[in-house]
Amino acid sequence: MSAPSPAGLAVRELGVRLGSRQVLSAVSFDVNPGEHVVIMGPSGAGKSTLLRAIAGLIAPVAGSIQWEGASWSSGHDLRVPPERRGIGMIAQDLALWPHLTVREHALTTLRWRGFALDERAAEAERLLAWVGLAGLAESRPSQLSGGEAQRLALVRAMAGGTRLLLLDEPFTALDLPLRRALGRESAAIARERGATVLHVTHDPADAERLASRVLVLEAGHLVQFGTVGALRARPATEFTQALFAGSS
Amino acid sequence: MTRRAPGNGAAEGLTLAAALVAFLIGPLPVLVAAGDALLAPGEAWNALADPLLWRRTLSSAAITAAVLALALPAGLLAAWVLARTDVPWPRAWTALLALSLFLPPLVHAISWVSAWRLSGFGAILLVHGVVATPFVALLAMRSLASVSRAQHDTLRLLGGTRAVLLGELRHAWPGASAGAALAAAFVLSDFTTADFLTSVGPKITVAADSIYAHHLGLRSGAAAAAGLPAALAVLAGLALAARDLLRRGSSIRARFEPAPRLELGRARMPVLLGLALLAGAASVAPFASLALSAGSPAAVVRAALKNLDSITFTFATAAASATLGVALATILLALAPRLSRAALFVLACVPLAASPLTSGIGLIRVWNQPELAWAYTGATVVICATAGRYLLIGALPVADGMARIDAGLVDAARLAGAARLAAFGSILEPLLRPAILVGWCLAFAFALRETDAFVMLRAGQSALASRLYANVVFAREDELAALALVFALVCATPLLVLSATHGLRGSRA
Repeated sequence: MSAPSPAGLAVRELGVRLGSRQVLSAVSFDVNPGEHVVIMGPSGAGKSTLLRAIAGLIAPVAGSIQWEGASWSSGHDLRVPPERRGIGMIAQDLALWPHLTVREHALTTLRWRGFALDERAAEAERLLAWVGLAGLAESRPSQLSGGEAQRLALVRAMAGGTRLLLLDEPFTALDLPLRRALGRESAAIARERGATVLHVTHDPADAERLASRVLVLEAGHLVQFGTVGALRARPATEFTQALFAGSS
Repeated sequence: MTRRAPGNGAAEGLTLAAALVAFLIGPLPVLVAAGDALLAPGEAWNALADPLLWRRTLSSAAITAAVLALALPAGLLAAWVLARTDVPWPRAWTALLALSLFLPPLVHAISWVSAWRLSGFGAILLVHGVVATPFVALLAMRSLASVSRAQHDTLRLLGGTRAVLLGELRHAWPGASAGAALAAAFVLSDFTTADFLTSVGPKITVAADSIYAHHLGLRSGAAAAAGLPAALAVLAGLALAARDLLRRGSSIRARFEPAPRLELGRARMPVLLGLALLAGAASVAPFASLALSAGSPAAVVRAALKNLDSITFTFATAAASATLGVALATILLALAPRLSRAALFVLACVPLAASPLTSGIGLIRVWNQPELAWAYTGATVVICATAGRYLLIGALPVADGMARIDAGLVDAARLAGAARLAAFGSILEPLLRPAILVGWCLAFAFALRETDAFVMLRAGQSALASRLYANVVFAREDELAALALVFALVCATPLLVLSATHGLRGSRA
């Protein structure tokens, strides 16, 4: 594991309970600025819960989360609410707002991100053009194809200078070529903007192509964290071994 | 030290203020009435030990059980036909069914007595049945609106149309059981309908008669105690319905695909006939018989003009009451943490579970103070009476709408930088607007049609329901039907608003 990094994300002894179930136990790791960390693990390992705890959408029961040296949460205390963490997140079902058009998604997010009124329209046009949605500005989410909806979710997640992007299996519902293309695009966009990415996926190919490091969770515990090469060379568990078996 | 986000403090303050006002207009009068029973334990115990109370309570329970035995199957079937098949004119049938719910049971009763001279147990069953069936049907329809194409396809593959029907009826159950619990609340606590329908022939007395008798004897502790068995039964029913309602999943997402409607085929004619019979008995017959009994259109106009002050008072107080109740419910549901929503549900159930006569006694005890005379003798006490009593009626569609909205939509707004109030205003409220409108119209309709609580209140005598009841009590039969028709037309107004704004289409919110 790398040394504590005041410039990036530092998670220490994180514990999360959902109802009576301990979902995460004593999870500690650091992520450097601009890194693309892929999070893997069997279903129910606590991957999505980890992202939601980092986002501030659920309160941990123990441990701490720091971003660039500032404390986001400590024990039960959510010291910075989700809206003030400057995080972008794309969930599996995208959670696009059904009553807003593509342009309104961008404008609303920019308003909440603190953009001045006279800057919003131009920035929204720029963002939509950037992901190829300028021609669909008046469409609602239900009128978009799978790939277009993913791009809109990416616009919302990255609008306003997001520095930490959380991807929770966002491309699972798409066909393989599109999934890989969007994965590449998102990673490139995040890299271009200097954003740090935490990316939950079940696809080892995502780890091979995108990850600077891979974090493996099993039953709420962090079991391994390192580069793909290191994990392949010295898998800590059968799950990790099976993940990279057959790939080279 | 924990740093708090700007906006969160405002949201918490607003929630606290809303909870306080909801408590003041809702449970407080009922608790004050119950306090009388605690202060006079001997009096309360004697009331509870009175065999007459239990005979009357059993009579109310038997009426309620019989009404639900009719209304549950009829309402569930009507809901499925209207929400899930290609039956012609579904909106018109829905509006006709809903119309029956919007008319006060006393008006239904007057219409059946005027046209057919119906009375006794059968008439009570019919009148409560035609009001309870739409309760079940409309709420079950809203449950059925969340059936997705994927769920429908899975059922079809598992067992064809039979599996679809059985599976989707189970899907409708949360709404149906909530409708049945609400209908039971009204039937169990009924006072004026049973009184009117058995004023000729053998008298059927109900639980509310005991409350009223103790109230007339100035034994407020005994009156509160007498209402307790029925109130506890209603609370139990509402709790069971809430458990079912809270299990539902969300369906308002960007990509919800509703299930396709099934073709009725050869069943079309029998289904249409069944709907015509139900809607005819529930809505067409009351208006037709009242119109026939009223004499001429001139008589109806005369009755309306003579009671114009009462119509204005009724409209204004009902609108204020619905606005107050639904605004409080929406704020509380949206901003209170998920855990405290259960407590809020109980808070809203208390005034509905209590008999309107008990609520009336509590309102008198709370508001009949020298320093509050301005409120007690005016519209304020009337607004509080109905806003508190129908808090749950206005809140249920809002809670239902909120349960259908994917929580991820609000989470996404928070992560995009919105504080809780901003996320509410930009994401939740626009998606909830149809549900808020339905809640408002229902709260408005129930405030308009309230009769029993107004019988108890001095200020309530200005309401149209009290004028009508006075005509019944003093046997002013010359203008009874005309005034009942005017009242029916007034009560149909919220339904017109709903129909005009497409609120009854079974939309996803």
